[in-house]
Amino acid sequence: MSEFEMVVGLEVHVELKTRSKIFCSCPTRFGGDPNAHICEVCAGLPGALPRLNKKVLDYAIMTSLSLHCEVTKESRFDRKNYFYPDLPKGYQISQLYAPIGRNGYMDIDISDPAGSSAVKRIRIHELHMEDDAGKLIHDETGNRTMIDFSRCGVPLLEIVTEPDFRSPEEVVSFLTELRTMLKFIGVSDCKMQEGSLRADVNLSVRAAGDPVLGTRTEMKNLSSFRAVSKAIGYESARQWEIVRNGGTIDRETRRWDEEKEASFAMRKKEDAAEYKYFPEPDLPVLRITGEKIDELRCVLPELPQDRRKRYIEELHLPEYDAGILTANKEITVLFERTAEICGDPKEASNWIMVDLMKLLNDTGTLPEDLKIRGSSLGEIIVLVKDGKVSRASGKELLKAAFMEDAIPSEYADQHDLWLISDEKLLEEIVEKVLENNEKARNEYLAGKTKNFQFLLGQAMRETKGKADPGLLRKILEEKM
Amino acid sequence: MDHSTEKALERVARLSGLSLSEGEKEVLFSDLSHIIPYMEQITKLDTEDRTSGSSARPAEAGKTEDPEGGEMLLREDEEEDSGLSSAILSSAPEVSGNMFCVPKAVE
Amino acid sequence: MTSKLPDISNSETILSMNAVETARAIREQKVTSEEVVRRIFENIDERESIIHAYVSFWKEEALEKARECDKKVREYLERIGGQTGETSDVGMPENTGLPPLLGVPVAVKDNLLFSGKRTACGSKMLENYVPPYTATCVEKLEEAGAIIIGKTNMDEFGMGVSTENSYFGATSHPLDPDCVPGGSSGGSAAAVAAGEALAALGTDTGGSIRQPAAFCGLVGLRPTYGSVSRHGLVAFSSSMDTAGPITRGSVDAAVLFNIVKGRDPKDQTSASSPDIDISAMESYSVRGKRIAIPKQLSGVSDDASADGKKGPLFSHDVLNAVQTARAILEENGAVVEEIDMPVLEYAVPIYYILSSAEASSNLSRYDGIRYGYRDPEAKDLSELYTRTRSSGFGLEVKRRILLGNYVLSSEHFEDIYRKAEKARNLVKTAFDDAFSKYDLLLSPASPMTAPKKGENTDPLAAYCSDLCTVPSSLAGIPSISFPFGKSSEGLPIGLQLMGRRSGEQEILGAARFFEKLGKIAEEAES
Repeated sequence: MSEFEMVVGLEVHVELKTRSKIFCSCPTRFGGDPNAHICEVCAGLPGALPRLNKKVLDYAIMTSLSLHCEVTKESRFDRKNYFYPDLPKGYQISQLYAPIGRNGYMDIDISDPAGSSAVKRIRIHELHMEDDAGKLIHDETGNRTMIDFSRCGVPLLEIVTEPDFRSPEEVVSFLTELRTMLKFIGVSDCKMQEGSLRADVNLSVRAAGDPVLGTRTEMKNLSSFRAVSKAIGYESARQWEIVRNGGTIDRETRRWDEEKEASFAMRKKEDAAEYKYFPEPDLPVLRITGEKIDELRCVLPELPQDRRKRYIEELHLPEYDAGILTANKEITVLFERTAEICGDPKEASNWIMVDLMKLLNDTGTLPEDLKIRGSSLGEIIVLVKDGKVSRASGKELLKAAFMEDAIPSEYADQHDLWLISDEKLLEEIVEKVLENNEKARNEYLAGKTKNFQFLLGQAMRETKGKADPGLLRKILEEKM
Repeated sequence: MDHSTEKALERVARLSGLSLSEGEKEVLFSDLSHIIPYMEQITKLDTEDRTSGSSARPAEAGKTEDPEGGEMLLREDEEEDSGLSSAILSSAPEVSGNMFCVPKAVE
Repeated sequence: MTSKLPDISNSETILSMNAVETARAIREQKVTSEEVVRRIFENIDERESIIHAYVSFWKEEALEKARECDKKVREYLERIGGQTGETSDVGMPENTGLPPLLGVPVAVKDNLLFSGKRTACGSKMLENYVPPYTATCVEKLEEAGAIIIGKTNMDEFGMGVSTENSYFGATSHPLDPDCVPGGSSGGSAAAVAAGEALAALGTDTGGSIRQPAAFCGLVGLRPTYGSVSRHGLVAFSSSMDTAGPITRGSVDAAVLFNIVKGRDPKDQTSASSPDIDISAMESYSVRGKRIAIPKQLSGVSDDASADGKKGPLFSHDVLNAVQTARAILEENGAVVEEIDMPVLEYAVPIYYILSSAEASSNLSRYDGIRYGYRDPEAKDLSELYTRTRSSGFGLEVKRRILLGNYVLSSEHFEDIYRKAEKARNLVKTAFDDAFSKYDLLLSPASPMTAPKKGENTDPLAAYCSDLCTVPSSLAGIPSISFPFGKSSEGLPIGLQLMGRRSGEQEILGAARFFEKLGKIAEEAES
């Protein structure tokens, strides 16, 4: 057992996938020249007022529900005041006193030291909406900093956990599950590298068994799950080294340097923490009715976690399969429809996890862009199971449905994929083959068993590979 | 003015993003040393059982005449090009390409 | 004041009509917009060097617009083959098919954005700032056909009671250039009172429409908070800023209010409100009305008051005016009673705490980065902020920013800011209680008449002089100041009527009642 324990909490910022910004109608999409997507509101011009995007509120409520939070019935915005060039109004519009979601949780899968899996509950302290700031670009040669306000006003959801994490693995597990869920409910595409998912880590250490919390530091600039994991490892070791030798930890913000794989203290400002928060007078109080919450609850898909559980317990799928199938909304929908049509979840799972995934990888297609319908895949599985087409043909049908959304039965017609299962016809063919291969036949009957395969192959060739293999084998067996 | 009050007001000036000349400090700090106690007399008021917060929005409370029924009118999620981008850039004190420029912060 | 249009064959009388009457005269082709605008600019040429009501105006553009308006009238009348057929005596704009203020020259306070025209808010910070968009209320005024001829002077960012806090120099009172016109909408009031505009838009946060209107003998309407969009109004105190009319007479105020009000999707704190019925205003009777005079606003309070500064504040002339008004009301069948609203003793500190807090935040955007003044000496980022803001802002603005930061800082937030928020609720409740028993509240608009320039040396005394106007700002209720006689020095006195939320009809009706009784001296020079 380790001599120290780390105590970690997260502040996760999620960029919401709306068309327009949170407080103005400027587009949120990437690209374009710097400062192409600005207006009087997001550039903080005199006389400008914020106008809340209703979709941001809907997404915030949906996320709150997905994290089992209480939705605050009278939620308010507050101003967080500080001076920084990427903040055009000189304040951020955030929520401090009445955030939209409170007291929630997310359960994560962790494996304990003994190797068996367990579930840990990570509590969500609160969840709130706020606007993003602009981007600063430092000109290394000159003495200038440049500012692009296109990102300013992009809607953010900030999710603050309680300090419930005790290892980097737990943190990564949480972030993974959170990302899956947020993508699943459609509120964000959570691309950490692009900045649509950002995690700040609050970390302190204490001697194992010590109930008192140590002084924590905050780490920023973590751009991947791997970086999060490494940063936690580094910072906890750094802090413990200090504490162990009787030193004290400075309460500060530290910047993670990916190249150096170390954290560095950012310049400490004396009044850094003074934000002069007060209620935002330019926006009305958000009165969330019970009807509104129910309406959004109905719109929410079944969450990945719950769905996985159901696949394992009710559909008897292995955990691994359940994980893959629920990683992605489009895959889940496809799987469930396929399973519904073909009545065999395990088969559906196999076809998706093996054959479909191969196609996705080979063609570089994203699940969001899938053309194939669950009804098509389900049909293909049924056709193969019923022996109407061979498995090989089945894969061909899958590819056609994948590429062009071809209807399996039509495609099979057009490309003559149907297996011959007419018993009389097959009997005729088998008899013909046996007639023409007297010698082989006799050798088989005398004991040369491998001639069976040869004869089977011949018969199959006669049918141009179209015979239902199982049926052909049966007939040949009977005839011999 | 006693030293701690002056220190406190200097901190307030820093928070305000202002750097005051000695002359201004003399005038303003002296003013505030009268103004602040005057404002602080509201602590004498009995405000028990008063919930704060929605006080700042009389428009809401007064929406009895509003034909729309006082519903929260939020904005639909539709994008619109403001058409103001170049006007905003052109009224900036310093631009480089399409970006606003400021002197670097002292690290 | 007669409701018939005066004979305007004599050019001297062209400007004796108010805005609504002038619009009608233009529609009836009794006068052209061009003639009116020309006369206005004659006054400006003659008087502006003394009065300095404007920070910018544009004569040729205005005349060009005026000619276009006249053309519109001609073409319209030709098309309908005759006159618009208006019959109403009161100059009320009927549905004539022409915009209600077509061709009327108006002024707009310089904190209401007007696209393409410099908008400086009385500050060095925005001395050369040209906004790329127009305020909603100004757009509405233009859509109504008014010709915006210039932007008027004001106390910097709305902070002040005399327009002496303007970076561009003080404005003078039209009747006595040694006196101030009031503030912060002093320029708008002076322009209308001096015949340099037929009407104006001002803004009122703690009294900045009502007090200058009172000082200059005009009507100033502070509408219900939220009834006029704040989109394009440069923010001072967001929960109390309101744009509104400063006019010759209450009918003009009502018509302008009808034009500029309305729910605006660009301002999510705005709400729609009912149109003012002008003919109902004309026939408004005070008989049976119950009117209250808050003791705390009538110089009556006897205890060593909350601030110790109220004693000599109310002038005798003003207090007498209130009593005269009371007598008139009672003569005409109203019930008038004094009421005690003790929380109003604290209205001034509550107002200054909340407005300074909001202002300190609203003014944080002035940093020399995206627009406005930038200090050329700034060597690094930190200096960019501090030097720009220190040279760009005047003393009063700095005072308020400091006060705002003080009350919002974590040590004081609960005790002062939160307390003030709660106290504000008490003020609202006190008004709700009053309006459960009374139809209107009456008080002076200001405890004094226009003081001399340079008299206002104590900022705290200036704050306390707002005691009559800040209560309705805190409650968000509509209030109007209307002229009621003159002081012994010949300076106008203004009284104030306060009404329920969305109760503009009531207060405009009562103001009209007083107007018609002719107890009010005509202030506007023509």
